[in-house]
Amino acid sequence: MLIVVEGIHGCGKSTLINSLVKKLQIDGREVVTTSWNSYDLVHPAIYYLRKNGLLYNPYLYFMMHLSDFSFRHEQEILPALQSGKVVIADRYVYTGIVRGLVRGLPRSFVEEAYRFAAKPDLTILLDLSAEESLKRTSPRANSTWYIGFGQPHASEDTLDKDEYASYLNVSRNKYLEFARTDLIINGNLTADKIVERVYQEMIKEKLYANQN
Amino acid sequence: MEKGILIAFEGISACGKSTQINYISKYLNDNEYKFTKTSWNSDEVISPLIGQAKKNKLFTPITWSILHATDFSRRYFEEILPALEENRVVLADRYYPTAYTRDTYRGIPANYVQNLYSFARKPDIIFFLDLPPEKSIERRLKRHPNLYYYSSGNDVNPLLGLQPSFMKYQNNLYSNYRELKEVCNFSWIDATQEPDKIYQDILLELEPLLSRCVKQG
Repeated sequence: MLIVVEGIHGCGKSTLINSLVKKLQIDGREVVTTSWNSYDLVHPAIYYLRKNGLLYNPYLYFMMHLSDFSFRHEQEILPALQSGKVVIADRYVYTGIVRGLVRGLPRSFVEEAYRFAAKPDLTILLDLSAEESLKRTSPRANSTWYIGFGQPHASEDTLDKDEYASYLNVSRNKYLEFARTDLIINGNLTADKIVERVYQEMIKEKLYANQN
Repeated sequence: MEKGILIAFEGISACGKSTQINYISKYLNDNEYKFTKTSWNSDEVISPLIGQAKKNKLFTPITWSILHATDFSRRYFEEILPALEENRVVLADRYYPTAYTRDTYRGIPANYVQNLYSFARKPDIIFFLDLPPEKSIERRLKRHPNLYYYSSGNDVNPLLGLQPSFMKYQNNLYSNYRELKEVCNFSWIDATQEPDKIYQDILLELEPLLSRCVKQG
């Protein structure tokens, strides 16, 4: 079973995932999690390019993250699914696609590039406004490197708040557009409410059938 | 009109690409053209990752395809495009047709590969050095008797030995190239000829294109 959690920075993905992992483990399921930009072979190169100001090009930015995702897909996600584990992905193809789109890449290009990805059994979008995200977190220069057609930002100090807010807003709207048929949950709800809502959906979608 | 001249060289293993690229480099130098050379799988950041993935047999067809396209994207935006912007000649030792042939052999749909490389400028000319697979295989084995897992396509045919796998791979790549002949508009060069004659054939097609490039000094 593949469960995907998507949403902008600070929307509550990690909190939800931690609760889900615990609950599924109590239910006797083996759970594997995988996070965006985390594959051993690739993410140090992404870090290096970013640090040295070499990730300015939207295509290059996109390709590097696609590389990282493709290796996690083949080496972590598929093998875990094949052995019957639950995989929970902290960000999945929507993140890659949305981040390509906000940087001005053609829609057909970014969608086709991620087409190989396994279809999730459940995609959850935690929807949060840019204002709320900014209240909860500090802007992360490294996650917003080269916003749209703007300038690269060397650090959080040089990142313009308004520009960052508009980046979050545009991203949020794109996520909503892609997640239209998925489970969209208001990120302002309490953590418990969010988990409860996810469980209702899993029962409804019979993702729990083999447990009962 | 587009800036610079982008020249790509394609062909299966040991078909004579490097020799010809060296000849053409010398010609461009002697005639004072500014030029830049770039080779497949050579980006300083990505190429070592490809090496690691090969060594640890981490590649599946899709990661193979994507990581090579990522190497290309680095070289494209860091080397190729800036050189063309300066009206230089760019000599590319392999370009996207290499990915088309190798990735489709691994079962990746042609549309998928084309999309990955859709940002890349079409070369002004692509020379295909046509050496029949039997000849290229013989030449390759004589030159470097050692064969490797992925470059023999052994990942696709794990039950075959390295050498039979390599022969099958080269034969298939060759037919894939033939199928791309029109789509990619290859300039077809008979690579069974002597190197000097091949060079003359290439030069004949190349010289008229060079007029729009800057000379040194």
